[in-house]
Amino acid sequence: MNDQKIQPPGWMLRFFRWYCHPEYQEDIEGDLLERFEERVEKKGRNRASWGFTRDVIQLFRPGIIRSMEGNYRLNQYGMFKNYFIIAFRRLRQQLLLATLKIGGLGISFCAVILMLIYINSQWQYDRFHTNGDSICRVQTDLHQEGGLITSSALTYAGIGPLMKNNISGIDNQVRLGKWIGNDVVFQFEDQSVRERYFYFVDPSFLEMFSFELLAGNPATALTEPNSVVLTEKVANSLFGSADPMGKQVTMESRKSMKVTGIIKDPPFQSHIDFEILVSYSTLGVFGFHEESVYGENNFASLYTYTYVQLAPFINPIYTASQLSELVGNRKKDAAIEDVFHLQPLRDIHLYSNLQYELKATGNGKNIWTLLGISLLILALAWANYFNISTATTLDQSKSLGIRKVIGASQFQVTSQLCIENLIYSTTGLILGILMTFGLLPLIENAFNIHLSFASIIGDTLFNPLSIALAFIFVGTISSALLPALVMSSIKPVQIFSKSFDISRSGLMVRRNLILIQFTIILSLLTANLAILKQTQYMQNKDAGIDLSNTLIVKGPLGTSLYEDLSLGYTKFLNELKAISVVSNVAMSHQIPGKSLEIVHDVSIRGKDGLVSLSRDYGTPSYFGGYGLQFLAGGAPILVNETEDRIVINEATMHLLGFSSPEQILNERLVFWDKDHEIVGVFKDYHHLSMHHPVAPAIFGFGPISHFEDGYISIKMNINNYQNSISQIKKSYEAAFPNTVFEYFDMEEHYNQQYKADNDFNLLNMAFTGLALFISCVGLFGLSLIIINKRFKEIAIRKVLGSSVNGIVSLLSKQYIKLIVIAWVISIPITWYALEAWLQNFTHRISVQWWLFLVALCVAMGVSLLTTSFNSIKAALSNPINSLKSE
Amino acid sequence: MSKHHLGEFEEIVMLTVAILHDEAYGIAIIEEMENRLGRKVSIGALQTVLRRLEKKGYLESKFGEATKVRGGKRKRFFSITMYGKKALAQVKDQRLELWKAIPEFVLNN
Repeated sequence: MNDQKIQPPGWMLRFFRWYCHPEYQEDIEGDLLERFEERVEKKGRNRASWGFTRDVIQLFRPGIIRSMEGNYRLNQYGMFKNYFIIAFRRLRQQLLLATLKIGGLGISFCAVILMLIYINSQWQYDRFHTNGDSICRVQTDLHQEGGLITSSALTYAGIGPLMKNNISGIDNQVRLGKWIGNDVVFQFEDQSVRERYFYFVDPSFLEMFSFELLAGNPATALTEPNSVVLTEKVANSLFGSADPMGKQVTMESRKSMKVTGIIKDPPFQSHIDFEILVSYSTLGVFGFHEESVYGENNFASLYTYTYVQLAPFINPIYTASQLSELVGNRKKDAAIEDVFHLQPLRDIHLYSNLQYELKATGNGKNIWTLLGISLLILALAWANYFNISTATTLDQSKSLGIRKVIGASQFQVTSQLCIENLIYSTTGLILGILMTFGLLPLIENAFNIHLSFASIIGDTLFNPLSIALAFIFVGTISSALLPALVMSSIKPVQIFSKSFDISRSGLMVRRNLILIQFTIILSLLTANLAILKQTQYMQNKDAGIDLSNTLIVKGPLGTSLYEDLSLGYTKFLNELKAISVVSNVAMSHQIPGKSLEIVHDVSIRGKDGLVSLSRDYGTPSYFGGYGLQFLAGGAPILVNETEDRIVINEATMHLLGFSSPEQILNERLVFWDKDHEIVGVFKDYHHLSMHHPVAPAIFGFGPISHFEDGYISIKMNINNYQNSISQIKKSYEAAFPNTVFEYFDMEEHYNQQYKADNDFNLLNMAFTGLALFISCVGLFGLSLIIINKRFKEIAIRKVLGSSVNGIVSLLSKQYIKLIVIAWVISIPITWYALEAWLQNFTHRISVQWWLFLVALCVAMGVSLLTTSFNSIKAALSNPINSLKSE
Repeated sequence: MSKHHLGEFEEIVMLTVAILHDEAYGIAIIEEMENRLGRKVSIGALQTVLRRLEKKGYLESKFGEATKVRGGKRKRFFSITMYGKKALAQVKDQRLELWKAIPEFVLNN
């Protein structure tokens, strides 16, 4: 007799059981088995198996297959109600743990949603333009002697018409001409506004872009010269409630233009910000001809923003290279080589970081980083959830086992657990959404941006929003399913054995999850410290210039282009000198923190080679006021010696091929058809933030009467000079009656350049703190559970004489081990990522050892604190309490 | 005329069930048919017909007792009902009628 029964092929048997109608299963299967057994005896195992297989296939017929609608037409509602009741009952019994689970999920959902809103608000920039997909901006890169001098958002005035007429595939172009001065006064009767954000635009502006014209005819509003379109804001300031259409406003008291339209204020999420639009043809009336900086034949001065609308399927890269070739042919002998790029409109806010941007841009890379971090946090919360759920299964497994014995199918048990998990997930999600609503106004204030919840809806498929939503969806499903599957796989028999402990089976998984959590936390902590250090380094690094206690007053605006302001200046300066706290007064066209203009085709008299240099000009007192040092020579002292004299910085000296400052003194720089004598070489300083390398620059001088619209730098000798401002204001207004007094602090202004960095840091730190908090929540829950299980063990140890310390360290040992392992894993990951990130900075820190150590200590300290709370409580408890019950 | 349409295979199955009377279950029916008729019967075809005949009411079934063989699965025994007997009788009569109607010379050649 065979002791071991030979079994028929398992697959076929399973297949049969699957398709066969339940009512017929028993006896048909019996028949199959009987035949199989007979055949095994007569013909052997293989032929019996083959016969079995054939039989099963032959039985696959409509009369025997089960019906499609399912066999149990029972009403399932009762079971669902039971699942809900049981889930809520369990929740109430384990209130603390449930709160930890839901709280962890809620907080991380909130973080993710907030991050999505923020990201979306950045992502939505410029999306309201209907033609947006086909519009590109012309970017001009200036190369000199093989190296890149600058990438500019401004381009030459001739580019737009050149492209439209000579390159195929250009549907439309528009130029935004930037005025040569800084600010301008627009007046209507007795109201005036001082404007910086105004542009001279081609009529195609209203066609290409989707800014809404509230009054006036879009086809003609900007065609005629001397036409101006005002935004609602400006119209209100100048006209109040009166109708501005058709009225005459004056620019600089002399040029009169007609209001031909009112346009809606550009939305917040537009990189083009303006308050007044003047028709481009007006420039011709002002006297700017074709060769001027605004003219069609100008390919030398950067004064216009140019946008082109490409026909469908036109390749912007090819078009840009065509443009580069065209312009190159025109400017064969220039020292500067122009390379053009076309920037898609939608990429400008996030990714563009050129010179002369219209306004501060966002930072695309940071956005992706922040998204990644917030999704990590969500993953951490889910890991916590999984851990806590699978660790508390002891009592629940008994009830599950009994359910199985009574007759629950695998599917029913799994769905019971799934429903419980989904209750937690949904509650967490709702909590997260509520928290988001609550926090939204606070965040808006802190970061000074405008956010709206409804803006979550995006229009393109591959955007951060859909990625995050997909992540959330998958994560929620798996966080509901996985614990359910793990816990429902118990065999009912097991629960009746004394040594049963299902949570053992999930132990390895939990350990690994904790390990991953800690690795993430340690990486985040280290990265954060490094980023903080880098930012501080950049901001504290000696910029080579003294910006403290300096009040900046915007220079006066003349009512005509060449009005003599010297009277007003003399008066004002004298009064300033009389103020005791004022130690230095300087005038300059631009101030530190603002981009300088570039002058081209500069050469040394008598030598070959042309270069381009940044140029500023002002009074000699500029150098004293900002503490700039000269390596050789100095700024001219006497007023009548200032004409045609310039000073240069070290970088220029090197660029021109000189190695020592003394050598270059008295050489002459030639530009604008004039000679300028070099009378001094000053030490390099960071005119712009540390993100930019020091550019070669020159500084020119001129009589006061030429100073209009620049900046007056007033250096004080006390720290808090607020009180002196009103006095200065009075003198200013008396000396320059036509100008509005505007001022700001130099240091604050300069540090604005780092605003994006600082915002990023703040967000980073907030999120890392959050991640740490969530991990602690998880640890807290886990340690609570484990300690509860080992209560008896702890009690016995206490009775045998163990101290509180001993018990606490016993319980904490395993966590310390895990943290150290996680730390070792995180080191190469973090190091590699940081090195890659730091590559982008011209001035950067080096990644040092102590960063990693500090992160380790912080993580270790916080975790031990969390777990020891429970350990100490257990260690201090009375051992009798746990040994009493059995 | 007749309201019972029985296919050839169905008829044979019913007859075999009647032959085996109390012992007509799947395997036995197959063996009986193969022995008597000398033709191979596929288990799928047989089972389908058995269920169909039961649905029509010609056969009824009941379970036997569980035994050690066949993995503990019970056997399902089929037996013929009154309705089934009537159907068989009617079919048999129809056949006989047809046979009687054949002219002699056709049969005897």
